[in-house]
Amino acid sequence: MRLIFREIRALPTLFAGALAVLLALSLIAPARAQITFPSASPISAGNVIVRTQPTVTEYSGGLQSFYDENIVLYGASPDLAFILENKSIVTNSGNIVSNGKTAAFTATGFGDTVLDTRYNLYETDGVGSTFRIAPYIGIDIPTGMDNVNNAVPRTLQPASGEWGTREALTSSWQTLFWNAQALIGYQNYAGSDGFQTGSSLLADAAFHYLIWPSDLDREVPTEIFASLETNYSLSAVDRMNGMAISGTGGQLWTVDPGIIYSTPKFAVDFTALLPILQQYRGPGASRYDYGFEMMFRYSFFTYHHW
Amino acid sequence: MIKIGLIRRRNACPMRDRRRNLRLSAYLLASVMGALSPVAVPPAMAADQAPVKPALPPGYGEVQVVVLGVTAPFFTFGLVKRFEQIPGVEHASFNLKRGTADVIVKPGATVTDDDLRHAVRNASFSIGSIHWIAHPSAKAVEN
Repeated sequence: MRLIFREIRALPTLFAGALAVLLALSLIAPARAQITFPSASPISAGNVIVRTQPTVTEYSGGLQSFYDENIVLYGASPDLAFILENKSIVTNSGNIVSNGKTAAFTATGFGDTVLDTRYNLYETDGVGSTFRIAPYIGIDIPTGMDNVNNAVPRTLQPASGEWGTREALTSSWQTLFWNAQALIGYQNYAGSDGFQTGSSLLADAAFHYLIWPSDLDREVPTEIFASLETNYSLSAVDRMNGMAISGTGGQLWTVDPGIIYSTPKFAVDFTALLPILQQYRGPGASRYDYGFEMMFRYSFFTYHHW
Repeated sequence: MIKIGLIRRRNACPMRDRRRNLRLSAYLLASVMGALSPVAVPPAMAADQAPVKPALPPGYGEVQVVVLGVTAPFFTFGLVKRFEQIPGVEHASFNLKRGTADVIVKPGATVTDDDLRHAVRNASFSIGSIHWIAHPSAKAVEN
């Protein structure tokens, strides 16, 4: 029992250490990163993982953003995976001031789609551990609605309407009791109808610590992890007809504590998104107050692969 | 320090109290773990007992494959499916701590080491070693 209390007392030290490592990793390169970013985790050939991820974000001034991102991950071969990400529904709502009058607005519609390809470049495996590095490239496809509400500026529409590219290098170091993951990436947009989203540098890091069970010497049906993730983005300003849109671009750094419940077939997580640094270029930005994200992940198996 | 319901009486025997506290703590811990477990754990099994492995049915084969790189139950799904996809494999399970897959082979089936290696690589993991505990007989053996 004394041993258990000693371990409980050691947990804050472990988390403080993990946080320090994550902060150090995040400072390597700046980023607008998505929560639960793509990692270099193994995926079996023929395995299909479906993930849905509703996220709510509150901004100062009453602006609220909701989107549900659906992700399908397919293991085409032991080293090659395809990832399809689609924001099935996006809702931005709040108040907008025009000619001195305040009016409520809502912009709801389909979001854009991203198709990624990930290749497992380096892998070293041990009993209960693996370290992997995987670059991935993606293409943003403008499948969403970029003009559902004429009264709302382009930056608040459900989709940007632009083609774009995303290149990233992601790595995972996983053991039986903890996982560490990191990503560095770059996102670029081609522009559409005079509007161009600013390009972004992304840097993410995550640390997951097994809190239950402690005994893994059997067929383990369930695991619970405490997670701590950090996302950093450094973005150029958005432009309309070549003119910079005030209050866009800049940097956003969030720290995201959460909890993960995982079984062989499915996983659920709940994560809070807490900003610790935000600087925007020019006045008029809606400041990020806080966000919540939930994730449900389900694993299927097919016999079709390369 | 968290103290929930532990007994500490004035002028009592400290050793006896300590033993009682230990028993109470163990019981509380077992109760909490039992409540958290998806399958109810009887009190007798609360002290970390591994379930007794049933005997292999006559004629069946069993092979233990050390697989490198598996770290969580979520990653065992594809691996187990890959093993069970091999013709003749009845069932596969995985022990995370030991990194071993236990594969049960039907009587009369021909499962080669190459089949097992191929399954592990297709699951995106690396092979450690293959150890046949029992080869399947040519046909099912009557009891």
